[in-house]
Amino acid sequence: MPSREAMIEQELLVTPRILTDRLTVKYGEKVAVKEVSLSFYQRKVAALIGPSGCGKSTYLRSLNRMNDFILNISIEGKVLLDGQDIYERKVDPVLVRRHIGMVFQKPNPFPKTIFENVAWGPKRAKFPKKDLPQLVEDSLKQAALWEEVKDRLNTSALGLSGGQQQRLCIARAIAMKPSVLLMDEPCSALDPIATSRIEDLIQELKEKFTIIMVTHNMQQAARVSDVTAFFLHGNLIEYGATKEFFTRPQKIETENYLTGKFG
Amino acid sequence: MIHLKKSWRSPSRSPAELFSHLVVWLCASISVVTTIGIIAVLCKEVFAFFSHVSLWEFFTGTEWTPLIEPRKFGIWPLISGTLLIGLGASIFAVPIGAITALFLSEYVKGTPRIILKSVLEVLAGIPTVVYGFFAVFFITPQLQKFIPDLDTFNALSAAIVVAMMIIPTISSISQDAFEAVPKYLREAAYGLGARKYQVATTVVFPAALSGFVASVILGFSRAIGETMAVTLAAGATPRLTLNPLQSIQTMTAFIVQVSLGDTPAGTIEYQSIFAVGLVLFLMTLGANLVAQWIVKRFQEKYR
Ligand SMILES: Nc1ncnc2c1ncn2[C@@H]1O[C@H](COP(=O)(O)OP(=O)(O)OP(=O)(O)O)[C@@H](O)[C@H]1O
Ligand SMILES: [Mg+2]
Repeated sequence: MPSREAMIEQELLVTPRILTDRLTVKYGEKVAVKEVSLSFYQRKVAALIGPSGCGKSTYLRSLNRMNDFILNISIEGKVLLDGQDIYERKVDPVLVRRHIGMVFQKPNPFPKTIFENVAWGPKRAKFPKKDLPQLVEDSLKQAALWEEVKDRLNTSALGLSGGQQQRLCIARAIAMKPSVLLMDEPCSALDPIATSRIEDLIQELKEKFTIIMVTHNMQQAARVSDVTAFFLHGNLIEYGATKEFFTRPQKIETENYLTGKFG
Repeated sequence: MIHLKKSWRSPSRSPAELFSHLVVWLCASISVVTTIGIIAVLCKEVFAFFSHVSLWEFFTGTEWTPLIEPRKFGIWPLISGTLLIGLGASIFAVPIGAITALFLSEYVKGTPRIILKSVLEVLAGIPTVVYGFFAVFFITPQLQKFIPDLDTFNALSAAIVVAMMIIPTISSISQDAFEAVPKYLREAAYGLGARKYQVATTVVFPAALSGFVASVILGFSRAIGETMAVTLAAGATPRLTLNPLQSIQTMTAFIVQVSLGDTPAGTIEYQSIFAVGLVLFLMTLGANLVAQWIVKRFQEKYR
């Protein structure tokens, strides 16, 4: 008889952690994402690829209600996190964002100390103050940044390099202990070495979080993701296991994109 | 094919360039010369004043009676009157201005924000004498219903009305500073599951501190430099007190009183207004220095 945890664990591998059901997003009249249905599972990294303006960021930001701030945006369809529709009226978007963390394209640490950056989110969520130092240390360790910053926790985060700043932003996001981590081109502002460190980090983090990342770099998608989704003009064209996806694409549009015939 | 003519002549030698340099220099020097002129006149009269009144009496005396015998030239009653108005008005205006600005920059979007901001800026354009009337004929009578021993002319009404005058200054400049805080910082905060008030108070406000402090200093300088409304509402009784229920006199009100009277130039009371003016100038300068220190110490630089 397997343990209860193991059963839950097993369950999560077969039921999606987060899924969208015919998600449509419009800016005014303009349709940016059209009836996209996708499921994302525990311990899997999903990559969203597609040409510029195809709606990847719009889709990603709909998953943690970051689009709520945009005037005249309209969202139809469902986004289910562990079975709960996050767009249901009774749901507080602030709490949604505590379960679904986000890392942005450009590293955006607060102009505060390294410690304050990581502790900022938990503090706002009334995390017990006395446990903060431990949480900060754990989060920085998980983000593979602890060794580099442990002696300068009280110096400004803006003194870090771009790659370190991005890892700090990851540490800051995982300090909230989210179940899903969204990343919108997390490496596009970084050099190849910093990029490969983040890619390694993503491989480690996927043990704990469901990761969904947007990337323009197809080698990166091939290297780090387990599943890949291809978007074009707001439509989901193809979705599948990354290996299959890159070696035997099913759709002609995907093949054209992968071989650089357009984009 | 069009070829640019190659020339090695320095472009700064061209007549148009020389002319524009000249104009720029002229304009710049006009303001410098004016400033120097003002300081020179000020200093001349101030020196004359201090040949009759000792520095000691001026800076330690607690009575100011330059127009009646026996004349006393202790500046403190005017300083206390001025600070009573300046600090009193700030107590009302700084929190209200800051909250208004945060509200407009973080909670209101689109057209309503533009409309509300313009309304506030119209408030800043109302002539100060109107505010003075408003204090004397509305605020004071209303307050007297609750505070029976409030004088007809009193510092409290003046401080309130000056606060109303500087709220638009503070909120408008602060709002600009808050709105200039980059969007990516707000996104970072909201992405971590923060509530609006948390973003406003712990991200936007600290990042825009220098703009906020600048607005407060500008508001405070306006408050201590404000003349008409204060002269009308607070009266002309130089008195060393911190009691806002009584009539007081501010530095500016004293300067008006002497300037409007038929005091001939060269008399000691005439010279005294320059000494008072200089002290007022130094106070404003001091406020600016304090502000710079605050900004250096607490500003969160995001670049
Ligand atoms: N705030 C907005 N208001 C109106 N239209 C928008 C807004 N944001 C994005 N769009 C439009 O929606 C479409 C999808 O944009 P989105 O940012 O999701 O694309 P993307 O796939 O992330 O592109 P990129 O790879 O360049 O980041 C684009 O045509 C874009 O112009
Ligand atoms: Mg994008």
